[in-house]
Amino acid sequence: MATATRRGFDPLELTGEADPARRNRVLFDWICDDQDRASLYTWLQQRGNASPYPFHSRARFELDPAPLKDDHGAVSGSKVYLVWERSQIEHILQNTDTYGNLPYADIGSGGFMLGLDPDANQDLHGKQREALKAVLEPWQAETSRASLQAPCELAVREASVMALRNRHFDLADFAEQAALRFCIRLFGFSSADHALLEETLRKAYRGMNYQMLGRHFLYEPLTLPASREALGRLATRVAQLMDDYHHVARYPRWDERPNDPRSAQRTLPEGVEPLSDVGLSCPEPIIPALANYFPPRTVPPAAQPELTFQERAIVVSGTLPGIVANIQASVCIAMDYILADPKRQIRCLQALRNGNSGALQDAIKEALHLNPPAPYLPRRVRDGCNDVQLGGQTLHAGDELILLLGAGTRTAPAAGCPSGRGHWGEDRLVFGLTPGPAGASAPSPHWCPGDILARTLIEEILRQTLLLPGLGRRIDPISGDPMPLEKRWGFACERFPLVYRRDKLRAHQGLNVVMRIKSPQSEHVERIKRVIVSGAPRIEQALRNARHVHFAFFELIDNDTKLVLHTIYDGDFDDYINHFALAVDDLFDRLFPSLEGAPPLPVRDFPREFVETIRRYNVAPVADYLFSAYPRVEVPHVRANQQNGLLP
Amino acid sequence: MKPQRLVVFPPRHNGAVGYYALRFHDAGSGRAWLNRVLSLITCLDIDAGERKGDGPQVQFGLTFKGLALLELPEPFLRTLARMSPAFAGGAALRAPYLGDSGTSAPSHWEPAFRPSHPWPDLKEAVPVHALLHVFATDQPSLDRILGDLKKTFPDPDEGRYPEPSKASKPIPRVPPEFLPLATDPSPIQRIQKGGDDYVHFGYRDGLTRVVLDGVGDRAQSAPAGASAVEAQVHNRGEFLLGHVNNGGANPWSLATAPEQMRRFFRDASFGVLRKIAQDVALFEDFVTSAAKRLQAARFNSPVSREYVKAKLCGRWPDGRAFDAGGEGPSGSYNIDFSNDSRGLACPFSAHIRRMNPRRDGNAGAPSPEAAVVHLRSRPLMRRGLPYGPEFDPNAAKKAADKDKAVAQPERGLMGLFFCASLEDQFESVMASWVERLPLGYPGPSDAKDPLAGNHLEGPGFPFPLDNATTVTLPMPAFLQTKGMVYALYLGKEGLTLLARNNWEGEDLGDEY
Repeated sequence: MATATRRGFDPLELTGEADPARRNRVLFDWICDDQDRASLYTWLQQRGNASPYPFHSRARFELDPAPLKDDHGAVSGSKVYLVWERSQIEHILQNTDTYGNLPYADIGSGGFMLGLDPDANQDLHGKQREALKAVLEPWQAETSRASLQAPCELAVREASVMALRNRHFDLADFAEQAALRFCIRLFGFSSADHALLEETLRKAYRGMNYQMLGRHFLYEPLTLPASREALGRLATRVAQLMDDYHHVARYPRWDERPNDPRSAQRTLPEGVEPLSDVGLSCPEPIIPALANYFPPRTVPPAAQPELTFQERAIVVSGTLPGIVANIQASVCIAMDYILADPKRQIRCLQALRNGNSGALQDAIKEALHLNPPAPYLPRRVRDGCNDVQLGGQTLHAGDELILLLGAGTRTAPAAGCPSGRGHWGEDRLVFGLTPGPAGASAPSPHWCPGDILARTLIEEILRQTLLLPGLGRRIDPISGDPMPLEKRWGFACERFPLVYRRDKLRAHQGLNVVMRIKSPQSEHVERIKRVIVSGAPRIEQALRNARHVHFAFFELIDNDTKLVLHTIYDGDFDDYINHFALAVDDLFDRLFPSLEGAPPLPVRDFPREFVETIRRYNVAPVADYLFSAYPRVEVPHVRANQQNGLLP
Repeated sequence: MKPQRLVVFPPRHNGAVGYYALRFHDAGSGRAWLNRVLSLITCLDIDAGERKGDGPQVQFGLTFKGLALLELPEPFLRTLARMSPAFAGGAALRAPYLGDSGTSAPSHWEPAFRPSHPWPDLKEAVPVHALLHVFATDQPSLDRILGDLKKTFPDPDEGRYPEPSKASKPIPRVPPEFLPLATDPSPIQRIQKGGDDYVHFGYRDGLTRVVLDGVGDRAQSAPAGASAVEAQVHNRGEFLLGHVNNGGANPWSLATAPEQMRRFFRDASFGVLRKIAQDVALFEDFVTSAAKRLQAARFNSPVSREYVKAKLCGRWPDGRAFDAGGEGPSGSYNIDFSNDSRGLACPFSAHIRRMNPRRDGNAGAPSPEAAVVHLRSRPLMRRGLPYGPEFDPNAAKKAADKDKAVAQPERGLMGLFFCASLEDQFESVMASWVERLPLGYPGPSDAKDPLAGNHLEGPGFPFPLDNATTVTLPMPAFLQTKGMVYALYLGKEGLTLLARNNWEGEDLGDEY
């Protein structure tokens, strides 16, 4: 049972190694592993030297953007600095004149990513940022917070239909789907945009990961082009939607009619679902709000944004990948932290049952403090800047930095710095500060536009997941170990296999056994019909006695070439079908001779083979989706109520 | 027919009991050890009338990983994996389905039960290969047997049979590593009151008499003082592989398999070891507060703690059944729900009504559809024993008053269950009957078994006050699964075949 295990963190591997490529590899291994990364952070803090830690990057910098064939114009091996000390991180985040986030520009999205780099001429990013702030304001307002709960609950419920359809599920997928569903409403997309968003946001986020960290350790030439293409498609769709919103607001899709049940859709682009249809009353979605955005009159005319729809659309496409992925990561990291300690899990669960989310909020705060959802931020010393000193290290224009937020959160804020804690008491390096009157005077080091929105949704996803019956980590069938949260490069949450008692939320399951009829077909079809007609009373009695079958019927399909047995039953497949094998074995003994692929007969002597045959020919519903109007009511439950006269 | 004794009869001695998880060093050492201790493992030739098995008793089960390590031929392993995926997958893989979540999740089990590596607190990461149970009259006797079992091999050639051709030079043989599953201050020990066995929650134990058809006289397996309890007779195939079960089928007939494979599996039984810690103080507090709450709900008509306990279990703590009114004990230990089709005397959600469905009021009704009991009884041979010191409420209170930080020694139940199908019997009982809506209960409830369910989640126990009113009592989580192992307890022939490793002369080309 021995498996190869990598050596854990050992600083000698770094300090005692002369080969920069080898040092790069070792560092990357540690960063990818939660435990080693924590050791690395501790080691950096205890070194007695606050200067940023340098290493040689593998990132390639193109000297010539269009090199001649066979001209290897890219160079790598430049120095990159790991900044781990809290005050230095905050200093860099606040000094945008010196430290820019230009590395993000390679992802696409028109270079807008929180718009921190002021443009020398028009300050385009500044205008975009102001517009985003303005349209988010109604959602972030105190009065909206209570009403935020409803769209969050709805998004999580909608995501759960598919994400939680089996007892084995992936929390990373569930959280991502919930965030997507939420963003579709928040931004005012059409529900048909779901597939586009899913695909483009994943590619864009991978591009972000690559720019944040991956490029310094790996060479993936296709990641950035894919990310640019994805963000381009997304921005185009958003611009189109803005135009649609703008247009239908002036020229509704049809004239007003009395008692028109679809009147809300008159002024919405095609495919966009009115929020009132799902019982929501929310502020205006972001895309139409951006389309209709005009700067307040207090802004001096010179700063009046004259943003085109394309420039406004980039605000959305540049913001969305981070929102969805950070919500997904926060949920996974917090759940990983909660499940690590059963007492913590119980504490959260019991509080949630009593309608109190305090314990859950605490757990989220603690988890994200140790592992922020976006733990690495890339920064570059701006071109044209003079040399700057940082922790005793001289940095030159063009030098790349990686801000290790996860290390920064582990160091206490400087004394007398009240802003070390954010709005709800969590570390401001995790969520940043909420923009608003209180934060206006002190610039936020790391502004998170979705702050309140994200928090409400994260909490709701975790709440609904924790309340799932029998929630636990999935066990690896090969090794027998609990399966871990899988993170790409140590931070992008890709997969978190969990398990729950699906049957306690929906007891019903479908069985659809499709078997080909033997040749000569017409004779066998007649025979099957006779067996079913003569056996019907027997089937009736056996299924009544079974007390876990709701419905059952046979169907001939594909021009009478196949026989299908449909049933809806309660509980576990093996329980059900084992019973079937013994209860109506004689019926199957008579049916199987007319069907191809039959098990050895009689069924009574080969029950296991019967079960295997049924399992083999069972066709699961498309995407395993099954609707039930009364998912937790089982046959005996109905029977007991019938006997008590409560049901006809 | 020579199954291990414990599958068929309750242990003859339990003055001193030891349960151990075993880890083998290598295949050769494991087989050599098994070969040496084979005669110590108590198997009974039941057909020849062998009954008692005098002297101390040693019982031995192997996990799927243990069988694989001892080099059971591939076709045998594949047959096992196909016929019993639960056994092949191992208990930890199935645990979430049985309600083991939160503190009871496999990732929080005791190290000895944890499935595999990497566990920081284990130097070497190896799964459990086997379980060993020793039942002796007293501690010195148990120590002596254990000494025999743990003995190193004085002669390196010992136990090398039948591999002489391979052994050009002596191969060192290492005895297996023994991990005790219940040690001081919480050893396995009986709780006795007036000559009867009890469990920590204060209920009399050993009242259910499950016997195999045609095996011994029915009084043989009756516990002392319970002769009035009617035996529940089941076909052998419910507990032993290769025999016909209650449904008239023999899933392990292996009709087309080679003779050797049939012989290997015949008389074997699947065993489940489930260690459950019980917080008795929390349970007793719950009973007290429930009695007060019910008294208030019943307009202050007195409600005793015994009454609450009786309703939770389905029979009075001393084992007696409810009387016709459902308010007091009857004179009988036999359970019959004939006059209780609405669950007013014994609630539908009560422990025994879930775990061992018996005749209900409609069983004799003209239409079988009127019955609400399970059609398929899923019998289990229960051989559980309590572990840890008996709960003393006064001592616990004193300790709590004096210093709240003083931890009580752990106590609970070392559950041991035997059946012929883990999936169809043990897992069905746990996953459906214990953890889900009780059959027949008409209300909107997904209550769990009050004494065996995981109450970390769930709405509580629906307590029927009268025909129309139910009070739901919230249940604290007083149980915690500390670990679980699925093992195969081979019969004499299977053990011999495995120890001798002599599979030649047979075409074992495929699974069956």
